Amino acid sequence: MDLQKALSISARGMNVQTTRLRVIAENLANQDTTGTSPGTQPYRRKTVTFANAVDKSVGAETVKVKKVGRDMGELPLRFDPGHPAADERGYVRVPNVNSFVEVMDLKEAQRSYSANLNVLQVSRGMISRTIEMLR
Amino acid sequence: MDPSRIPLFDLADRRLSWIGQRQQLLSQNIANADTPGWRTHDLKPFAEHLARGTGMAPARTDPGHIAPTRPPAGAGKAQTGERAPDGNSVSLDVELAKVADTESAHSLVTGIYQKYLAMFRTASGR
Repeated sequence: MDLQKALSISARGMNVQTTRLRVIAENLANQDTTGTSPGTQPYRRKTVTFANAVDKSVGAETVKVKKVGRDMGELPLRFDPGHPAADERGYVRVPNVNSFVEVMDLKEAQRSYSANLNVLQVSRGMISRTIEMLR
Repeated sequence: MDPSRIPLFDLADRRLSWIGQRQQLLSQNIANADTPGWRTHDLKPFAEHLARGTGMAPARTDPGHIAPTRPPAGAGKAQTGERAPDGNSVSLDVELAKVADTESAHSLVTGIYQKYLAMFRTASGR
């Protein structure tokens, strides 16, 4: 039934947004994770991409997480001579996480999640009203 | 008596299946609101869908009859909204408005269906 498929598709949509939220939480939690000795790499920001995919168990096109990748952008330098990972000039490589970008992304994920939840509730209401037609 | 031969039941049946399919497409659009390259899908309006399949259009039996009104201009055309730089054309508010539309159409159909059944009950005295 199409309405049942709509339920599964919305649930899948909420699922991928949850993965996105998890990645954002990882990025924010690790925004100060640096190396422990000179020359070691700090944490690199993770990114999520989504793709459209046919789900055989649902029998319709849904959405899935395509890849959790790494942002290979440049790592900023911070002057901190007392840091264990500081090089001979006193600079430390810090993660390329920008908390403003992450928080904006978080808002967007939240908005997409609620949109999916809204559709799920509407579809459920339609199914239960259809069942009520039997009375 | 075969209930599916009563025109209203047949019409309600087709309307409900149209609504179910549309709801599926809209939920796909919303689930893919962040998928690069995804373009929105929608069904053609039900009136157009109906005009193709059956002779439901009103017949003009007298020259004095007014011709059937055409569907409003632009109906059925894909919305040419803006697209994000990643090629995604989903706008959450537009899609949610369509979902609300579909929901109210669904409660209209189920309501009429139940009223119609109640008339049968009245007629059969139960």
